Amino acid sequence: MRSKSIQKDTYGYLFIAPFFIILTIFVVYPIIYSFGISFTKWDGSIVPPQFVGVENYKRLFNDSFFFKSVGNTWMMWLGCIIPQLIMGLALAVALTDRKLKGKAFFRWIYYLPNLVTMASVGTLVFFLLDWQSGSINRILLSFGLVDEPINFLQDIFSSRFAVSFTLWWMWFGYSMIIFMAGIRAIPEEYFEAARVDGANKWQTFWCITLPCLRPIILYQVVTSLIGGLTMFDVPYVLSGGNGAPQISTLTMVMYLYNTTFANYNFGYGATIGVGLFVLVIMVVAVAYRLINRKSLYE
Amino acid sequence: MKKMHLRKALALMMCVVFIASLFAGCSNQGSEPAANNPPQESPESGVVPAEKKPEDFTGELTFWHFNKDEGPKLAEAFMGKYPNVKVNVQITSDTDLAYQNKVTSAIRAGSGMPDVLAAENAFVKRFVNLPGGFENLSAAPFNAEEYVDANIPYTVDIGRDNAGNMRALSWQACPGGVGYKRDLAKKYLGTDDPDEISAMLSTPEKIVETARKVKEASKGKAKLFVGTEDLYKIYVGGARTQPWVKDNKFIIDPKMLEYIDIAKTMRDEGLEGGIRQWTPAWSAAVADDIHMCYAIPTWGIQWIVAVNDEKNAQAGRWAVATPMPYYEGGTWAGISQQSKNKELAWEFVKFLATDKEHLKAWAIKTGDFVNHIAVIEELKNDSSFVNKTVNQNTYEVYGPMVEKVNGNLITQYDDQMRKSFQDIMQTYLAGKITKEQFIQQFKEKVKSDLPDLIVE
Repeated sequence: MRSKSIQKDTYGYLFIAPFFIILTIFVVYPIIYSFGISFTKWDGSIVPPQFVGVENYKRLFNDSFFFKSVGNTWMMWLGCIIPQLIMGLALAVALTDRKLKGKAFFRWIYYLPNLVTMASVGTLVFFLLDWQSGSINRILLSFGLVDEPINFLQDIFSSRFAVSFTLWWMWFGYSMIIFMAGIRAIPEEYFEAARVDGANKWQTFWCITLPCLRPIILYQVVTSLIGGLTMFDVPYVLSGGNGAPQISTLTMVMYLYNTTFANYNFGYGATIGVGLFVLVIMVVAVAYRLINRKSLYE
Repeated sequence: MKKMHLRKALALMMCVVFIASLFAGCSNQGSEPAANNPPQESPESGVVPAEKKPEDFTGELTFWHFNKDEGPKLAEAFMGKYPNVKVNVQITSDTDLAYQNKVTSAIRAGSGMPDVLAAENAFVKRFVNLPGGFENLSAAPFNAEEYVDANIPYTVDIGRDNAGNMRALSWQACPGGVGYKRDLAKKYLGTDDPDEISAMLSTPEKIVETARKVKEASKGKAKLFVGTEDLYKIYVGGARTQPWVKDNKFIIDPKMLEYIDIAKTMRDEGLEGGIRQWTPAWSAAVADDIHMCYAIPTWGIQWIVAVNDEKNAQAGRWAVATPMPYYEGGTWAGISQQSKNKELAWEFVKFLATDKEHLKAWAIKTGDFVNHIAVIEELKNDSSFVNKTVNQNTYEVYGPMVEKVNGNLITQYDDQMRKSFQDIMQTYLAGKITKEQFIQQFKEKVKSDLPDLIVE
């Protein structure tokens, strides 16, 4: 009997082996490899990487482009997540209201933008905002609201706003769906009790819905943050790849990508990757703490 | 109990199969580089007598190209003359540098490279200097130096690496002119004669003056140039005298500063269309009645004008003037160091770039401006050789320009320079920064993109 149980253990390892092998090949190895590359100077050719010690890290700490890209990423993420959560929450509350008709239709409509790939949406917005031939300028001109077309994508504020707005437009429907699930999970008794006590809708929202949704809000912030820190597609397309105008829409991942694949600086690209990795780890650690704090559900 | 054992055995087997399949992919790739090394020697051992006829060549070649229109046609032409050879063309467009990264990673991986690959002007200088990329054609058994006497020298020099070895050959010369719509020119400038138009655009001052004339005559409706980037091509490909980088030092040629000024004047006074090149709006404007001039290198007649204005492609609505010599573009091809069939690969490259008969047929069939001096002379003097799009003999138009092209302006950094320069230029043109800030930001960008260069 004893030998049988040992055999079972071996099988257990075998069964989980594929996962760990894949993880090692596709995740662990690349991370270690990039970390190694980050101490070298390498143009990605067959000439082997040349060890330069911490030279790349020294450069990283003095690299105004890198710090700019960190700032840009945060700014554009904040400009997206705040309206995204507010809008998502408002719509979720409205669409879980029993009396409202046509809920399914609106849920569907609001979620729709999330199904389109980011790069396509980026291209679409790029054409809408184009200086000479963009629809927005055409409309403004034809209504006589402006005399000269506005060069949106050469203005720092409007470029960043365009990125945030595009991401918001794509993601508020997703937030809404998650919030709706969260609201449905709140025990009906709470609302009943509120009704018995004579609370109006506004009071119910502030005293019951919102506190009960706290873990959901945190969950959304954390997942969006991880996605936001790796923001790439939309600003890449809108700025033509370089983070124009004046490096104001350059995100961390764009900087990594350009350094590595457009300027063939694989070593420093890996260093930026390590910087990004550390930043994400730090943010996630803080976020996990927040989530694991005692919430109302425990 | 037996059944249970059977089940376990089955489960175990599936596990093993699954894990084994994971490695199957790796082992295959791993073995290839090893097999690749010996053929490095093969050209020497396989030296062939020069008398071998086209029919005697047999086998298959893989050919990588970035242009779906040109690549297959080149292969067809070769297969037409070499009936027993099959060329497999694989096209990867270079959108977002896809082609360049594909080549770079195949070189790095040590396997997967084709026999022959093409490189465009924007990145040919990088490719010819890539270790492990192109084979040295100056060396035996190729001895390419013996074959290129008839080719325009600047096109040959661009195909050399920094040590002077020939790595890739071209079949095109790409001097540029200014293409314009004859009807608009006649209406607003009073003439559609290429010589007169050339005179009107021969200096920066005259360009601005002519642009103002067009604006006045059309009451602000028409623009002389479609955008400032079309002027950039003329400056970067001809007007300046120094490349972006010399002796590892970053240089801004004074002519580029002049370009910044003239572009700014044109933008501020509304003398150009403000449309960026290769955008859909830019392509669409080819057929409109507003934007008069485009920078049109030899290949542009077909690939900028004719394809975007199909209605007038045969109507001679356009003409090409040659106010300032410059060049833009061109395609080179060379043999990959990984090729297992270098003899045949060399035959293909040699055919593309030096076979006079083929080059003449190619010029007539595609309208391309080839770099074979004798063919140029022949076609230049052939009055029946008229391009329908511009109603001119393109060899007569561009022929005299070829000699004025300065092939030393090209560096392996040009593509990055263009991108950075133009990005910041747009911000400057929009009035968001001063000229000093523009230059400052451009230098910072270059320093960040190319940290090995000395930027002062």
